[in-house]
Amino acid sequence: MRGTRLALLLVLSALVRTPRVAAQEPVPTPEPTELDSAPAATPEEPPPAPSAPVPASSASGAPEVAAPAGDAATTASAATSPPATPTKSEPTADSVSAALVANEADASDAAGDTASEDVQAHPFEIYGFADIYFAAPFYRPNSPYAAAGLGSHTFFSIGNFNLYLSKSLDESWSFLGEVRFLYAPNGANDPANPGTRISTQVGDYADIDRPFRWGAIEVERLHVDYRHSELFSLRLGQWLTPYGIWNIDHGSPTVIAIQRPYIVGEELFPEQQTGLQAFGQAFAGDLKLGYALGVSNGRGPMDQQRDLDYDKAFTGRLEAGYNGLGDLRVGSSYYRGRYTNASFPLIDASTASADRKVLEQYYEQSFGADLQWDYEKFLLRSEFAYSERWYQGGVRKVVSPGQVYPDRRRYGAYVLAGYRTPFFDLMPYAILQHYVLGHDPVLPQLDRLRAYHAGINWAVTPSVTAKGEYVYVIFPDAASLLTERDTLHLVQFQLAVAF
Amino acid sequence: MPRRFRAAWAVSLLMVLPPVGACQFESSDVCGPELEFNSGVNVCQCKAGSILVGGQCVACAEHEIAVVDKCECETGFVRGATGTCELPIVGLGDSCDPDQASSCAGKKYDYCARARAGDGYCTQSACSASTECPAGYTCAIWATPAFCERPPTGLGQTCAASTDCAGKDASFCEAFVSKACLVPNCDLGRNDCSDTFGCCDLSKFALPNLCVPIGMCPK
Repeated sequence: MRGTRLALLLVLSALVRTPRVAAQEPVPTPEPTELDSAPAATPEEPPPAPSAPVPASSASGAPEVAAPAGDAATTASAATSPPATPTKSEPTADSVSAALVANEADASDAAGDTASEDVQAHPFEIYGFADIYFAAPFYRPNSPYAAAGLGSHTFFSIGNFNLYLSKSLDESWSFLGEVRFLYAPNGANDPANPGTRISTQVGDYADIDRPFRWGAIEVERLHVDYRHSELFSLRLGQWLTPYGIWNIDHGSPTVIAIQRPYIVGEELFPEQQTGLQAFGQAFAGDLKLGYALGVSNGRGPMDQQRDLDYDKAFTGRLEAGYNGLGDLRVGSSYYRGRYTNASFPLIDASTASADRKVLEQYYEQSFGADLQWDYEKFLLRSEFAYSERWYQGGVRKVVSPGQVYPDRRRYGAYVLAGYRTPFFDLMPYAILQHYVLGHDPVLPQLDRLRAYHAGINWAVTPSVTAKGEYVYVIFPDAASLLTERDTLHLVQFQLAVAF
Repeated sequence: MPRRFRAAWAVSLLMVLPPVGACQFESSDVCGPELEFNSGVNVCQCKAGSILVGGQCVACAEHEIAVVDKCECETGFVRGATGTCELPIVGLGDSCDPDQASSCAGKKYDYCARARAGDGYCTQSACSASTECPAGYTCAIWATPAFCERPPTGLGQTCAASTDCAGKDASFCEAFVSKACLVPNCDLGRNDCSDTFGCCDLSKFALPNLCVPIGMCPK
């Protein structure tokens, strides 16, 4: 368990589950879009469609601006700008308004039944992204890093394979769903029998029971949006928590780097929530202010379907953008909720009552701040996140018999800087990360880490991105656990496509 | 600086300022009032001598020590029939010389009692009730000093003649009705029988007084 977690931290959850974020840089697109010229888009941004402008994120996590041709970096910071031209990858609400207008115009000229016109005006769309990964880790064979399932060998891996299903229901209503297909749980460590890999191999009933391995599907998000105005929209369902940069932009083709930063991957904020969110934005010349407010089940063992306590979680985000010196955006986010895990209530026939046992319960709050700045070919991304949880009389999670979790405080930050060169659209970039784990009983010897990344992002085509990266991770306080040979060096590559 | 520019920066500054004073985390108290922090493994655990039960720390009883999540008996103690930790029943019933006062010395049961059969055994003295005695033993309050008397040997053993009960505490064979070995020659006044037995006058049957189960004495 410790080993597994260790490796996950060390390396990179993304080795098993590659980054789902885009945060950084949309793929260059062929069609420039005039910033601030289009109405706001309400849906989350999907990855860029092959020939579509790429949206950036707003305070709500909604896509906004399309990328100017050939330079996604500029696009990425356009979050401060009003939403842009609708794209194939943003089918909802105003994000598709232009397309809708065109479609509707065509439809009005055409004879046909209403249903046919509706289909033309509000088509159901499927699109997505995928990535393939290759890694060459460098550490001793029995290093705890290997507990992440990485082994000490070079390997290829299929990372994400995500599909978006979207439909603009009319000019105000829209729907977006995203699912991810996984090979998991095959090959994962069996929690019921640590050290044993789960096998999903079964006989194929369609092929005289020859063996095959089944996988899983994860619902990343699923929500219905209602857009009242640019200043006010509602989102109901499971949505990405509107915080920072990386958690909102989504999809490996648009991410500059290969892995999510630790503060994002370790979920100092919950990655998704299920509930109701209001969001909007206002403009004044080069300035933009955006907001998002959400109420949800908060974090829990099954928060997509149930809240195991009465406390609803609160999420808030404010964002300001300025286009006077390149594209500059700053934002801050806040989350507060109560986590409760409880046993399934069982009925006592003698008393005709159902009772449950609370297994863990704590309060948590998180604060984050982020900065995006795009200036010509240069871009800068930075996030800080702070998270604390306290039990306040609640039931603490058992670590081992007689030992339970303490209150915890985690925080960290990263800075990413890149420059899109004119040579084949290559962008060298560098990342510095610092993350404090804060009283983690699973990794008691590791209090903090620092990671250094240096890489190249190559926008091969508008829908194909290749990345190569060197990662160096150190644990300054872990001398008793890790030797110099355990310092992680990793060379990794990723090819990501949008389709 | 344009007014709207200043306003934007003011808003931005407000946004990035953390909610000072809103922190709930107390680095000096990460485990609450009952638990203490073990920084070596980053966990909360109960203080020495108590264990975690349902999220609460419960102190271990006398002669118990906390071992992980259980209270275990201290070294040299064992858990007795009542659930408490006590010295092991070493020496109880061991043979001894009732004429040698020190023949049980050094043991928990340091009193050498003379059995009805005439032999000696180590037991506990200075009792006032059988509840103070080991399980099955009767506090012989009729004796001086009072001591915990062992269960009569041979009691209830099937017999046909007294030779079958020879050498036992229950040395009399009641061969007419029960056909079992019983303790003879009890004192009606002192009722010096084991618990659940009573001294019965059977002289009208030309038998000695016998310890019989309470309620079984013929009127």
